[in-house]
Amino acid sequence: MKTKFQTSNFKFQRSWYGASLWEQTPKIVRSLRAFTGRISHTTVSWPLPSPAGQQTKNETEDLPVTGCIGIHESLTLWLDTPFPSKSKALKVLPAMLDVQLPFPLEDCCYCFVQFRRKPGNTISVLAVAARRTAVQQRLNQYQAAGIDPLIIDHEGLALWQQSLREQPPRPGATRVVVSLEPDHIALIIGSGSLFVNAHSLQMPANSNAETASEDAFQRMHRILCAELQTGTAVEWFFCGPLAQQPALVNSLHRLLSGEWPGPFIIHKSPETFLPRALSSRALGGGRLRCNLRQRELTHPAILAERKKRSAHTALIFLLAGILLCVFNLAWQIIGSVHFKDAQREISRLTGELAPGRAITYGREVEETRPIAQKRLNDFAPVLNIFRQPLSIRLAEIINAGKEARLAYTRLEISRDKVTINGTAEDWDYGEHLAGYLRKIGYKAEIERKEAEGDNLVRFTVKGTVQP
Amino acid sequence: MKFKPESILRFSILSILLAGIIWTAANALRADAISKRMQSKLAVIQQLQEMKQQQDLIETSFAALASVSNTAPSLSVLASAAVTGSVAEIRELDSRALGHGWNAKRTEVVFKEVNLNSVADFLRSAETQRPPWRLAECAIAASGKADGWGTAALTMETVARQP
Repeated sequence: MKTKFQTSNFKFQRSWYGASLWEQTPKIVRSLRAFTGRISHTTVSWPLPSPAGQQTKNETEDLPVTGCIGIHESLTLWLDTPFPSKSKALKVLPAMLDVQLPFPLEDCCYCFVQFRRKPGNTISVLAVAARRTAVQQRLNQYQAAGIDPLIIDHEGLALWQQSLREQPPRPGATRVVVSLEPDHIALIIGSGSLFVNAHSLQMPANSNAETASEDAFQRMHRILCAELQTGTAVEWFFCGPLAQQPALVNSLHRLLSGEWPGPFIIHKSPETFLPRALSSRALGGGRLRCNLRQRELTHPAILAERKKRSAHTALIFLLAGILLCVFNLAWQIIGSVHFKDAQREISRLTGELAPGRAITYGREVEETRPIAQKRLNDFAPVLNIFRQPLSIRLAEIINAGKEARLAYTRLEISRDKVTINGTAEDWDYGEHLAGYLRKIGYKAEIERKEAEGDNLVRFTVKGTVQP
Repeated sequence: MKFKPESILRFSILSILLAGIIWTAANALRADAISKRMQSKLAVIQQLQEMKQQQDLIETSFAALASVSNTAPSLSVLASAAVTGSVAEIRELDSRALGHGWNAKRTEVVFKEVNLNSVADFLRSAETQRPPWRLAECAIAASGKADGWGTAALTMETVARQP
């Protein structure tokens, strides 16, 4: 089954190819992620056979392949920043890396792959860097083999991560991954799940396993002495094509465990460990991912993807802008229409209430009300016929006076006002009448005079109805 | 200085987006004022509609009066029937045309030193006529002689078909 690389969603690709290269001979592993998240690996031949038995150049170029740059062509180092914040640390990291590099940073491809908080609340950052010429050279080697990798990963990080994936770490245990390649040995040192350093050394050209392992041990010893104290317990993990030779591995482990005692494990299918590591990293994500194929070396498919994403973003911005403009225009038009409708309704009503009169804009109520009120007054005799008779109110007010134990001396009432004079046995009784008038809609005030010889309080209650 | 078409396109897109954002912000700032202005217009409409409803009552009232054919009965007859022992002083105050074939008439009726309960009977009688007499104003002064007695000056109004 062939998986066509989709530029639009390569991040969500379910299948990746990992390619390691030795003397122009690629070793390819295809990793496929199932819906359950499980990753399966298949070794494939290159170029891939098409169903018709033919593979065109363009089709192979479009496959999602990840390659790697060797440890000897790159470097990994931990940079200790004095900052507790990642964003602040990121600002100074390029300058810090530049100081550490033996060549100008501008000529390098680099990534900061892991941020680790250290005691003292500072941040330590794992940097990966390679000279651009080295990356270009590696790329040329891949292209000469008919492979155009989307990603140029780092060999050491890939081996370390895959080793952890296949043999989960024990906290704090020192682990050394030894990758025995035909042309070199890769040594990756770590503690628990933490990557510490990676080294590469030339594989001795010796056909005898015993002699070869002694030669290799001598070279590894110099490096390991600098990294590990003698006697430190180490878990040894072997991989690479030459790890299939038990004599070589046993001999090498015997020599190594003499200095750094510990068991050894040979990873399953060690000959495809590196391509498997590369495709798994591309597929599985997680920490320590990097792509040193940067800037002008970036794969055209990634550039096209970026361009497409940029175009999508621009389109979204354009649509958002147009949508906002349309929304605002519609809002203004609808508002204006409603406002005009309201004004038209006002004009219609004022025209009916005050026909033939010019009403000032904005003073419609003030100018129309007196006209309407005058008409109501003019026709009050007709309207009063159908309103509650004033006599009913008169009767109610008389009854209220009786209930409040008041004696009225004079009562005047019209539709809009009432005046009552009278006497009360108690100072507060008059207030009961005023309260009653307020209850039925009058604005009532009461005036009282102290009791005279007859011990009666004289009061006057005036009530007016608001128009 | 030469601009690439791509840069011009990006600039245009950003300009449109920016214009949209600024326009939205401006409208958001104006929204409160516009809403208040619209609410004030609606309040004006509501007040005018209330006035209109009151005005419409005039026409409705005239329509209701259309079925009334006779004129209001004489107050002197009603007064003499309701109040005994005193003669009411009746004085026509004014009469004016209302339109629609009707006149408005106001009459003052004064009862001096009468039992005020009989004044209530007079009012009840006057107000149940077709068309009715309606009390427009009233001034009652209690008498010193006895409880429930006094002088009442009533302003009555009615409508009558024009001759």
